[in-house]
Amino acid sequence: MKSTKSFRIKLAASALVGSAFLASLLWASDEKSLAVPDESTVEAPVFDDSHLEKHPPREILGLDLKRMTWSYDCMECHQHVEDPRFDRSEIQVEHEDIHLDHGNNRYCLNCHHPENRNVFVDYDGAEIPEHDVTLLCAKCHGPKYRDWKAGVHGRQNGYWDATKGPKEKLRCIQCHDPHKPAFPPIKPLAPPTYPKRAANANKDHGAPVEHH
Amino acid sequence: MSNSQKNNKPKTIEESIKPVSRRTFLKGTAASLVGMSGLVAALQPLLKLEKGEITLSDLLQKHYSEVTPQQMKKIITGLEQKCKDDYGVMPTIQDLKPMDGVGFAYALNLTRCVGCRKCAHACLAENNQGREDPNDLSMSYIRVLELDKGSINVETANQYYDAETVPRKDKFYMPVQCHQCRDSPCTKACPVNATWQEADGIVTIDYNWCIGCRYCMAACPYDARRFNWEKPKIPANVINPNQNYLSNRIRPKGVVEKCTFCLQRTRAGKYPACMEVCPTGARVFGNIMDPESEINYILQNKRVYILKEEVGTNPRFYYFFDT
Repeated sequence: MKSTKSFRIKLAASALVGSAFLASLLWASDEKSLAVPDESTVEAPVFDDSHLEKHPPREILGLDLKRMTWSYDCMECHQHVEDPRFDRSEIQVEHEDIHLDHGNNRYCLNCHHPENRNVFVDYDGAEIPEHDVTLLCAKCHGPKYRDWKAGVHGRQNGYWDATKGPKEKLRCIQCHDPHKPAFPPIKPLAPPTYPKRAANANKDHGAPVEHH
Repeated sequence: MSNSQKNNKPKTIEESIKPVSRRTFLKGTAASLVGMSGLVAALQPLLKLEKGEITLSDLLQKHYSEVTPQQMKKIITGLEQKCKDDYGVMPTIQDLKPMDGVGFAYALNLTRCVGCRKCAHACLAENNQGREDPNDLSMSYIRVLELDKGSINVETANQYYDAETVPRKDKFYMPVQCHQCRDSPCTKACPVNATWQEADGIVTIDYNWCIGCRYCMAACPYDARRFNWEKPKIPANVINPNQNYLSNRIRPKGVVEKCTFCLQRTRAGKYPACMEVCPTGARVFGNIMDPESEINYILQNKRVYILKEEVGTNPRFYYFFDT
């Protein structure tokens, strides 16, 4: 009889304690949810990327001149110049810096339009405007063009998340010289320093191991 | 046959409603009393908690609790002030969280990479690694390996090449950084849970929690982790003020750090620093959960190579080949 009574007391006590515990938990979580600052009103800080060298590997002089409001009308001269279709060995006054080294292409007019030198030429003689230069390259480099369109050939800059900002996609000629498209070898940046202790340990057997 | 017949026989009322005998009743009461008093004994700490003898965290045997947003704000303000005091630059430290429906993955085109090390140096410019000379690569998260063409043999790879021009003849180049493994050995090795994988796949380190035991460095098969042997020395003019609690805030002495796919950038929607500077466009980064993303195009259309696939780390970093 006595044990039943003590049981009742214990039960009541534990019920009390349990509810108090739950209440304290609730109270704690309430305090949390009430005092959270509203993140949506806080504006995300904007940082520039001036510490990164993001400029395209290659300057596009012609198009840049055009952007600087030069007329850059090729036909001003080319209407007076003979058709170079069958003779490109004698580049005369203007383009002597161009040395064509682009696969099998040996003629200017493989890419440049014979009648309108301001545009490029398609297989059927149609004009490809200057700003669609990627379409000109796509004439021969179909798979590369496909990859470029998918965003896996050539560098992309900016935002991967379209909802946050724009993505900048470099075009063919911002990396490749169209007259000599192979990448020129470049000077690598500074290598890591060889760990001092390892260098000393290696002294007897010669300087840092280089495998050739 | 006879069995089933027996079972189908209807029960009498006495059989189906068994009256509780005095004996059964007492047995049941005794058993439940023992059980209940055991439970109450187990709940005794709750009484102590009520009396204020112990705290809630003692009770839960959890000697730490999750940081509330207010506490986090306080910690971050403190860290910003410390950076200002120690390095003379006031940073903005954020605590960007993983985004819903986003899992990051990286792919690197081994056919394109020329080994110019621009990624490794951009990593320094972005991530505030300790270095007196801004060009000291020892703490950079990226190691560019030079390998002999013909096989991918990292045993004979050389990261110290100092050529006039790259790529060199009969060599190819393989930058290695943290692979953000799905089954990451480093997080399993950590004895204090100071490093873990976030929902978007990035393996992060809490520099305030790391005890500097370097077990994770021993566990990593990609040499992706770096240790701060001393308090980082960084010239003020190369400190990046865009900082994040779990990534590029300036580290204290004696903690491990690693590549986080620049989460201070990528969780804000931008590309990582190493990708932004690559002159050959060898690097492709994106959201692997988005079926239209570039990274999925590579996994579906290219020949993909996983470095040390045999160790079973299941990385989020892929190498691929092109024509």
